[in-house]
Amino acid sequence: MTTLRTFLNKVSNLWARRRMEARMQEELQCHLEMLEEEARRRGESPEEARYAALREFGGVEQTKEICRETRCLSALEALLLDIRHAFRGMLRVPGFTLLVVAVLAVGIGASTTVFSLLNTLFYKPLAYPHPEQLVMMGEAYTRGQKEGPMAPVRYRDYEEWQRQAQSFDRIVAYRPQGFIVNSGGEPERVRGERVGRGYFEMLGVRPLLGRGFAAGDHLRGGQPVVVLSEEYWRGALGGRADVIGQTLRLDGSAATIVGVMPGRIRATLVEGGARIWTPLIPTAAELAYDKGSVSVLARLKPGVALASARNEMAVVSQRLAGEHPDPDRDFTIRVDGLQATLAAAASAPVAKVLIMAVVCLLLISCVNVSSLLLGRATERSKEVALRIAMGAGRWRLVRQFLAESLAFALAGGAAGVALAYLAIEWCSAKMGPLLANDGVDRFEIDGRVLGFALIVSVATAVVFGILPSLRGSRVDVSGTLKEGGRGHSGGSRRQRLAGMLVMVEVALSVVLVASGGLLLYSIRQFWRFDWGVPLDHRLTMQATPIERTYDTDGKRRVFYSQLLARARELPGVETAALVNAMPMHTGAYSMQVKGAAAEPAFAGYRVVSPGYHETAGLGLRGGRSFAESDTGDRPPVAVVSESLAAKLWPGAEAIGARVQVDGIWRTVVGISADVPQDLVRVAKYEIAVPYLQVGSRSMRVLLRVAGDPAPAATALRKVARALDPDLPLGEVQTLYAAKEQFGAPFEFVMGLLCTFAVTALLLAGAGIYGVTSRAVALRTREIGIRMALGAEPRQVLRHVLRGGIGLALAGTGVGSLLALMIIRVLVSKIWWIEAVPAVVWVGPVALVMAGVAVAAALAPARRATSIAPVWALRAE
Amino acid sequence: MNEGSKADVLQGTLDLMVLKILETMGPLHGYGIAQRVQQVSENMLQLNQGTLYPALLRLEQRGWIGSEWGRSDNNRRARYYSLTAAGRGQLAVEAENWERMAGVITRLLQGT
Repeated sequence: MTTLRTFLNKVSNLWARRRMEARMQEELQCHLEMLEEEARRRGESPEEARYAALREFGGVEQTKEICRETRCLSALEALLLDIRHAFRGMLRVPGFTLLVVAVLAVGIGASTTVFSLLNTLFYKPLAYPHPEQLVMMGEAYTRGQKEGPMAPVRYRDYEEWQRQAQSFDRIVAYRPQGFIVNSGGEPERVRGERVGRGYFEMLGVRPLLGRGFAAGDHLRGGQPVVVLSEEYWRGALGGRADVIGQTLRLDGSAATIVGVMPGRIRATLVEGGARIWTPLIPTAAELAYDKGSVSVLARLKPGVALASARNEMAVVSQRLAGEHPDPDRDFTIRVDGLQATLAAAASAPVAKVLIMAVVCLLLISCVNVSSLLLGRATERSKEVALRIAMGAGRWRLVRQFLAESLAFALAGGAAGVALAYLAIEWCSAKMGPLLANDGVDRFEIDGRVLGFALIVSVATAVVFGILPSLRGSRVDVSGTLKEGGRGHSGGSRRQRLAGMLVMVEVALSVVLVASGGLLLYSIRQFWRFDWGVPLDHRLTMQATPIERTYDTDGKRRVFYSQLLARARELPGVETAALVNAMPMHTGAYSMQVKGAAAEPAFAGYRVVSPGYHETAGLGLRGGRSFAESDTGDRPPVAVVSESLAAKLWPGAEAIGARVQVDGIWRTVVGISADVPQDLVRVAKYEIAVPYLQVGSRSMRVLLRVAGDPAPAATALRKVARALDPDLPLGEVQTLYAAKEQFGAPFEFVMGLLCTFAVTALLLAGAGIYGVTSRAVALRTREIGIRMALGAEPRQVLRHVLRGGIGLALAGTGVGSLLALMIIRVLVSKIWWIEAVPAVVWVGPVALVMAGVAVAAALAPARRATSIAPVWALRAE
Repeated sequence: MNEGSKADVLQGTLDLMVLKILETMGPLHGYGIAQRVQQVSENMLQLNQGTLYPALLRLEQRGWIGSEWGRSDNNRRARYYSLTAAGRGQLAVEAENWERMAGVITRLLQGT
């Protein structure tokens, strides 16, 4: 009770500070005057009386200070005061302040930038009501598979889930699909989704215009309807308000526009997000129970935990397993939070590397600032001694130093955020088109990012401020005051501290520069990856005919065979082939592949025509590619890439072995060269199957041309249009352009990393120089003594340099060890880096750092040894 | 004056002294309290009079004494402290504690 009362009293005193201060002043003054009066009554002279009063009273200022501390929540009030004081102090040394703020701005700015990139892409909450209730559901590919892609769900299973599961508000299936839309001009291919009943209601999205889907829209044989995204409505239809009720041609027949949905809907991992939606009315093939066809989203009922939903689905899956026994199938139903699934992508190695890099950079700037402040603390020892004499306690001083650090950090943080704004602007401009694929318009700095910057600033203040404040507040009062504020010959402890800072700084910069350099090297390797033939002589074009017209695999095969035959006859075309996805683009085309090895692999799945490997420039390492004779009535065959063969049949012959993909067992007839797939996630695995044996709705034409690709591109479009006037023609792109597009995000990240690395190198170099030269300069007097005692300049120089080099080497050693560990991880994640001898990268950096340290030690040491000992002794 | 014969004020005893003085003398300003301490101790205590003020502040925060401005004998404006009801209770408790403690120490020193 008393403590509470004391506390409240203190809090109220906080506001009445000025009044309390006046009261104390008056009271003490009154007391002193009374003492003085009494002394005068005793017969002392006025002056003597005043001294007597002061003697009897004790230290007036000390008393006031103790009173202040008793009176207040001293920490809080003093902190505010201290920060104000600190800001004022900063203005007194503008040059120093500018330096510190700039160094901090670099570190904080870089980390804020990276956080804002990651925040925009992964962490930002989905813009739906209660996003935490949204989950993705699907079957596990293998027993116990907890993350990564989910297997598609059988439509009839999905209906069972809806019937049986009680944990969910709604369970809704969807299926991404490319539609061919003609809204009055050329036919165009538009990414979209067929969605089950209640899809928009589940997400909690309200239409901008018109309505979502009604129950009747999902009935077979009803009037075809379509809902547009705001983006498509504005882009293709000019944002006209009267579109509701109008029709557009969708896959060759009329569909009525019933609604427009606002913004971007980013609920599924469909690349670029869906632009139009139609009701999901399952086809006969989708209703068949042989394989999964739909993806499933659901919203948990309020208050239902993810774990209990999982438990319920485990029961449902057991029931289903009982009804449809199948040894090849694992019935485990996965239920994953949607937000968490999107955020999980943030743990990709690239994100980790970026995070590591900014942490290194931030630490380097902290170390730099720390050493700057340490130096300043030495210079301020007189001021500190004076404060101690005036009654300031040790903690009071530590607090003041920390407040100064905080003031610096806040200023640095503000400058850092300004820097981050610029950087984000640049990143958005650079990454804009690519971002669209993630359903994001631009990177942005929101409240979360600002909060992050604030937290980082305060944290850095503690990191860089704690050492100088502990150090700076420990001052020998009478010694310092007597000396008139001249620093003593830098105690050995202070030197050891400076030495440790040098070590830390060298180690950090070695880590960052070495791994940054490795990645720079890796991107160079990516561009130099040998494709055998020039990429700009390879063209691809999407060619997907309308499903309604070409509704069977047979009809599509006829269409594609004709297209391929005509493409082969075009002038300048050497070879031509069909493929379902571009060589450098896997995305949704990853499939689970089983071979002899116990563990299946995920590989890029290519459905190709004969001539694919030749046209793509993928050499065969053994066996054969596909022939026109590999048709549906012949044994199923496949060609696997070299590393996939090594993975699935370790140490054994792959040709002739059996491999299962997409539910069918095939015989491996050939092994192809490795081909770049997804750069960081899956390494080099590819499996190709003949398109004459499987149906593929959507294929690309791939041409190899002899000369200028432009005429061939025009001719290809003409041939395709002649074959089918309703065919939407994609852009004809060279593989080189595809590669550029593919490499752009990586190039962007690498560019960012290299900027960080170079900045770190500069910062660390400057920091090491500063710390080392200061440490040596502090020893000027010691050097003078040595010289006076008869030491040779050369001996002294060697002695001083040995210390500097030792530190740099120690730092380099620690840094190299760390860097080697990190590099090993990086090499294992990025396929195109072939085991680079890390020494190549760590070595030069270590040398440079050691060189900087030596140079920094050399200059002041030279100066100290070249002057007369007497002057050296008088120095400082 | 022989410095060696003066004792520092024992930690924690200053509060008790202040409370007791205020009980017997009624409202008093800081100077008056300091004088009274010196007088009672017959100059055997070494008291920096300044240390009185943090103690007064502390007692006031705990609600054991109150304070208000008043006029001193020679018409000077001074802050007068007085014992509150809670302070009276506290004084009883502390006095009892002190006596108990003093008894223990005395017995200890006498070696019984």
